Amino acid sequence: MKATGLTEWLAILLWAAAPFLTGVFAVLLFATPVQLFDMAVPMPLFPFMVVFYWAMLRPNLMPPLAIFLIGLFQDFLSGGPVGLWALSYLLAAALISTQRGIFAWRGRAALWAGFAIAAILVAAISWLAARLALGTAPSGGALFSETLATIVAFALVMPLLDAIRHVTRQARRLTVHSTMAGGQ
Amino acid sequence: MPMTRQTPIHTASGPDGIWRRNAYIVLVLVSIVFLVLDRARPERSPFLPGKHAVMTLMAPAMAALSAPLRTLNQASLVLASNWHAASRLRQLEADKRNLLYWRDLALALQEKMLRYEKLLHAPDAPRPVVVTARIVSDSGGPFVRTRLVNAGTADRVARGQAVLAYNGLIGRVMAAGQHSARVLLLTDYNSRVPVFVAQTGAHAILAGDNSPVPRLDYIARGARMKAGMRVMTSGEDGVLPRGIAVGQVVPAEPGRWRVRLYANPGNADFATILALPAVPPVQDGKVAADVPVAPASPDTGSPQSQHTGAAADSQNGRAE
Repeated sequence: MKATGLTEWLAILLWAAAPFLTGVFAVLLFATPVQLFDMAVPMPLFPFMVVFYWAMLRPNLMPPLAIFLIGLFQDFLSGGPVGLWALSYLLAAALISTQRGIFAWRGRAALWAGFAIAAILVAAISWLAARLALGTAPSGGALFSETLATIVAFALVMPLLDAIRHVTRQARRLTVHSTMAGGQ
Repeated sequence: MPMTRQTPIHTASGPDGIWRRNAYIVLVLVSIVFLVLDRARPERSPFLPGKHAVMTLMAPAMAALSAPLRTLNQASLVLASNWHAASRLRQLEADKRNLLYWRDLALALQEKMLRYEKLLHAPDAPRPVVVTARIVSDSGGPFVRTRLVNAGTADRVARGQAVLAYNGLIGRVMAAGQHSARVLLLTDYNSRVPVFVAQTGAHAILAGDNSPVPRLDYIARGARMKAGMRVMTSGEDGVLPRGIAVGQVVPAEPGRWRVRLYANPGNADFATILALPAVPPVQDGKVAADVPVAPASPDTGSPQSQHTGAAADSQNGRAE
């Protein structure tokens, strides 16, 4: 790989940092209060969508440290138990990434199926972690509705993430003479 | 943008896979350690400064991000309001007739109370300073019930102060930065608020369990409970003032009672913070009068108001 100008470096930086920055933005979005018809709406777990998407399709751009930091940022922003979401995301991503051969690069339906399993894993892990951290069993109702919303919303978010991946890849390709032909 | 590829997919094998697997293991262990450290003594968590810093740094971003979503909510409210316009109008007219009666009664009682206080040489009750703040962030997640508001120590907000929305208590300030504060809602697992039932005087603890209707624990023995009774803060914790309306008693599991909150924190855009010392200082062995007790004069719209009118009165306050 040869990079000679500032534009090329910026393109590489954008390409490499896009997954993590998208994750950070997803945490902020997740923490935003949303109401429809004066009722609180269960918020889909956007950060995990980002984590899962990149961990499945481009794991080199979503290393465990990035997953950990996204989870930790969510923990700090929520004011809840520190480590809860970091632990949930890491465990779920580690478990589901062993099945990349089944779910990744086999079309959106396969990715969505993988995500549904991963979202249920996150819900189960976070419930257990919350159970231990809070000392009492959290109500499953809110968790169930949130998980359902997360699985459904992933179908809508997937094209957006595809677009981000496409744009950053194109920006990098246009500016950098890469030897990784057909790398994505 | 094809979602398929011809090249083989690398899973957790090879040097990169081993490195990745080890990183997962190490970071999972670090997360568990963090969780233990944070929850061992939540009030002295080593992460409190970090949470504080993130809250302060992210409050402006959250305020900007929540603005378009507020518009969405307002648009949906307009739609819903128009849908039942005729019935809502009738309801509002009936409410207005009732409220005029209650206003006259309140003014008469206030006048009577002031006369009694003068006769008894009662000390003036501390006047709460009402700070209205916009709720800019949800807690994010099913396990925590907190809100971030855009008012902080610069606006005289401090830890422990009561937070109300529209017509009742929703929680208390758990941490305050310079221009932002985190509010622990009554529905959160960690929330415990001493309350009493207005009709019987029975004391209890209002305990959050992440459900929208917190439960009443440790109800005084022999207390006669009935659905619909008013629940108010008792001020026994020395944190929240006495007499703030909380909600109504509703039956729960056999032998248990819960409280339907007057104010639903889930759909509140604004929070009203009673920025005053929660418990008046002891003077000559006597505690000063309870606060807040007296409604403000509707003519003046004074911010030193009673809880039920505070939020509405102060909507034209700081946040806008």
